[in-house]
Amino acid sequence: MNFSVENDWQYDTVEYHINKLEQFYKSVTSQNVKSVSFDFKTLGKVDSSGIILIIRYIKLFEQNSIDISIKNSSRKHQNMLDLYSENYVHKEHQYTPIKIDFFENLGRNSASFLINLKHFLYFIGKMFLMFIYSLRHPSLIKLKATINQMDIAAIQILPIIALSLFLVGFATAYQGAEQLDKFGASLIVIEMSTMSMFREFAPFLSAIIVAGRSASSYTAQIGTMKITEEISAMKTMGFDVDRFLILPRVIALIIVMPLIVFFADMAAMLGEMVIVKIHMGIPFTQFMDRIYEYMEIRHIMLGLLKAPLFGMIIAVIGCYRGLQVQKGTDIGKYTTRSVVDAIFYLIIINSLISLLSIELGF
Amino acid sequence: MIKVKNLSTAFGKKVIHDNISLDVKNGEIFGILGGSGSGKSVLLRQMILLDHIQQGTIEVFGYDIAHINSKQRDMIKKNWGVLFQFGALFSSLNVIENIGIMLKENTKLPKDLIEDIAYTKLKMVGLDPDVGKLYPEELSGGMKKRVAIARSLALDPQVLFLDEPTSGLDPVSAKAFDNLILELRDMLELTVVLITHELNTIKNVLDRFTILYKGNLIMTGTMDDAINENNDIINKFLKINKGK
Repeated sequence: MNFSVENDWQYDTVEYHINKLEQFYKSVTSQNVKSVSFDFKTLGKVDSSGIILIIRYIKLFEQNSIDISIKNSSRKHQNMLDLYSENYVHKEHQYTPIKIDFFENLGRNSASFLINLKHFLYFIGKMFLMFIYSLRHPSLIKLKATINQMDIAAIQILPIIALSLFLVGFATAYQGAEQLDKFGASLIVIEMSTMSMFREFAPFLSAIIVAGRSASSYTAQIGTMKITEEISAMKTMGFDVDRFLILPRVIALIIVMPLIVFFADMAAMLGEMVIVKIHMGIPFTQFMDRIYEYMEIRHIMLGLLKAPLFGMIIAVIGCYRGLQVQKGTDIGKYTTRSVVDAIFYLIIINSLISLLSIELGF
Repeated sequence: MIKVKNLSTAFGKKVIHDNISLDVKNGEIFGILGGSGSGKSVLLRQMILLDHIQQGTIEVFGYDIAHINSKQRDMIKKNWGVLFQFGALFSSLNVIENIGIMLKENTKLPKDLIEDIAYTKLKMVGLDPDVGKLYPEELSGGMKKRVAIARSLALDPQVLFLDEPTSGLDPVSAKAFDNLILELRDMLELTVVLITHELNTIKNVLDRFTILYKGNLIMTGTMDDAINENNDIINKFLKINKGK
C-alpha cells in the first residue's frame, strides 16, 4: 500500500496529517499488508516535526515487521530522514497519576514545621542575646548601617502611613458617629475612636505596612546576597553576618517602629478631626479639649510600647527567611513566606497583648 | 542573512558602538569578538530585539528589525534560536518540557508527538534520554547549555545566536560543545552568530569573525585575514605570534 506525503509538513501544518497517517496505519495493520511505501513526490515544505511524525510511523511499521520503502524522495528529504531516524527516541508517554497522600503530607509538613520552629527559636534566641550584648557593648553596633536602614524603613514609608491611617481614622470616626447618633451620644465618638486608634489600629496597621515593605525587602536582599555568595565571602573574611547584616536591621526597626506608630497616631487623629468637623460640625479646639479631658496617657503609651516588639518580629522574620534561601528560585518563595509569617505573628502577638492589657487594666 | 549598517549606540556619554557595519552570510559561523565592555553583548542583544537600536539599522532575514509589525516580529522570532550564557532554562519545567515548550504553545500537536520530537532533539545535542525527566537545577553547566540548544532548535530555526557558549565549561566539555556547534551547523544548515572569548573556539569553529575594540570595529574576516592585517590590537587579542 502507498501513502502519499502531500503538502506542507511543518510544525504549524503537521497536525492536519496526523489523523490520515493514523488511519493509514490502522488499515494496513488490519488488512495484513506486508509492505508499504511512502511517496514523497508531492511533499512541499517539511521540518523536523513532520519528519519525526513520519519516522514514528515507520518505526511502528517496522515493529510489525512490515517492509518500508521510500519513493521519490529528494536528497534533502532523504538526508533529513536519515538524520532524524538515527537520533529518533521514543519513550512511552507516562501519565503520572495524581497522588493524594493526605497522611504522608500531614506527617511531612508537621515534621518540617517542628524542625523549622526549632531553627527559628534558635535564631530568635541568638538575635536576642546579640541584642542584649550589643546594648552593653554599643561599639558592636554598626551605626552607619543602622541609620541607613532606619532611613529606608521609616522615612520613605511615612507618606503611605500618613495617607492610610488618615483614611482609617476618617472612616472609623464616620461610622462611629453614624451609629452613636442613634443613641444621641455622638460626641462619645471622639474619645472612642481615638482610643481604638491609639491602642489598636495605628500600631497594628503601621506594623502590617512595615511588614509588607521591610520584611519582604530584607528577605529579598539577604537572599540575593546569599546567592551571589556575598554572605559566604563575608564569612571567609571573618565578618560576623549577624553583626553586619542582621543586627542593624533589627535595631533600626526597634528604634523606628514607635516613631512610625506615633506618626500614625497623629495621622489617624487628624482624619478623625476632619470628619468630626465636617459631619458633626465640632471645631478642632473642642475636639482637643475632649481628648484632654477623657484620654489617659496610658492609651497612647500602650501602642508605643508594643511597637518595638512588632519591629523586632518583622526584622527577625525577614532576615531569618532571607538566610534560608539556597538557590535563585527560592527568593520569591521565601519573600512571600516572610510577609505571611510576619503578619501572622503580628496578629497573634497583638491579640495576646490586647487581651493581657485589658485584663491587667492597662 | 543579517546586515548591520552604520550602527551607533551610546549609553549616556559612554559610546558603545561608533558607526559599525557588518554582514553575516548564509550558512556561516560568525563570531563577535572583543574584550569585556567592548559592546559585543549589546550588539547581540540588539540583533535579537532585546535592546533598542539607537542609530543605524539591523536587518534580519531582509527585515529592518527596528521597523516591523508584530506579525513579522513573531515570524522572525520563530525563525531564530537564542542560547543565553547560562542556558536560561525555565526552572519550573523539566528538560523535555523545556525543549517542547515552543511546540506546545505554538501548535496543536499531541503531547506524545511533542515528547518524541523533544527526545529526538535531546539526542541530537548528545544527551541521554534519561536526562529528560530531570529539572534544570539537577543539571551541570554543560548539560544546561546543551538542553538550551535543543530548546532553541525546537522549531527548526535558520539562525542560532549563542552568547559565550563555552564560557564556564571545563576544557573537555568546551571542546565537545565546539564540535556540537559544528555538527549542528552541518546537519541542519544553520547560520550561527556567536560571542566568544575562547581562543580554541575562535580557531576551530568560526568561519569569519569581527573584532570590536572601544566602540570601533577593527576588522571583519577570516583568521588568515586577521594574520595578514598585522595589527597590534588584533595580534594581542588573538595571541598571534609575529615571530612565527
